[in-house]
Amino acid sequence: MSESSSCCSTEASANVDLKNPYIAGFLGLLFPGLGHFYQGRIAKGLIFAVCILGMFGYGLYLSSGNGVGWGRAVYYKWQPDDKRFYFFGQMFVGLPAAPALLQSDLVNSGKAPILNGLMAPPSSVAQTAPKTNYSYHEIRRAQNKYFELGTLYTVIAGLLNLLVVFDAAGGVVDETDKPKKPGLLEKCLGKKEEPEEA
Amino acid sequence: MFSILLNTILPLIAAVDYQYFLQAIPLIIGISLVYAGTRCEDVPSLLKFGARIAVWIAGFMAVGYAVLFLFFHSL
Repeated sequence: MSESSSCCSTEASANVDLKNPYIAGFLGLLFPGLGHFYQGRIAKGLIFAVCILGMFGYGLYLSSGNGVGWGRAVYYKWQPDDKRFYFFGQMFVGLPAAPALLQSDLVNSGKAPILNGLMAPPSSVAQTAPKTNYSYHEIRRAQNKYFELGTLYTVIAGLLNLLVVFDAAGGVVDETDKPKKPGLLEKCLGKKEEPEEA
Repeated sequence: MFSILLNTILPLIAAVDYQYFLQAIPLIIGISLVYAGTRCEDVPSLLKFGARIAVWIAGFMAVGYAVLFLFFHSL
């Protein structure tokens, strides 16, 4: 990456005290930005927390309502009729995704989901009265494309938190120590690299 | 060429529900800020780098959309 496209001064990144990187990484995995707060990198922690929790919350909001409950795009279910692979992305948000596991336990033990179905897995079959839960097809029909959008937002929030965990554990990516390579345009035009100034 | 543009492509573009595209804005902002955060330590340069990444993502999406739009509507 050329000098113009790499971003930051290395002085600030060199002065970062990562404290115990394992604890920072673990805290970041528990809650977005918590590892940075532990390290005293408050501004970055706030930016990460707002971005990731904002995206996760917006995804929950998109997949809420229309009479089928709250935050239906985030749930854990691993049964032959519905293997929810998306949860393996969503779970990296940490504790904010934990209600999905609690609700999954509740539903698997034959109880009704609590909190208006927040992050509860759908029932395997459409229920008749008394209706305590909704099936996957009922939820999809009620929420239409917003269920997909909610899934997209929450999965991306979880995967972005992985980047944040690596940032907390390893510090910022320093791109200045990479050897300079000619860009694609320079290769195509056959432009030679300028000799470095002493 | 101009009549094709006027009679087919422009009405198709006008018929697209662009409210759907607004959903991409928070996604672009979030992704670019978090990615910039892994490259920068100080906040001003983080925001500057994040803005540049956001423009790249939006541009890439726009080009991808234009290519897919023309491809599927010319079939």
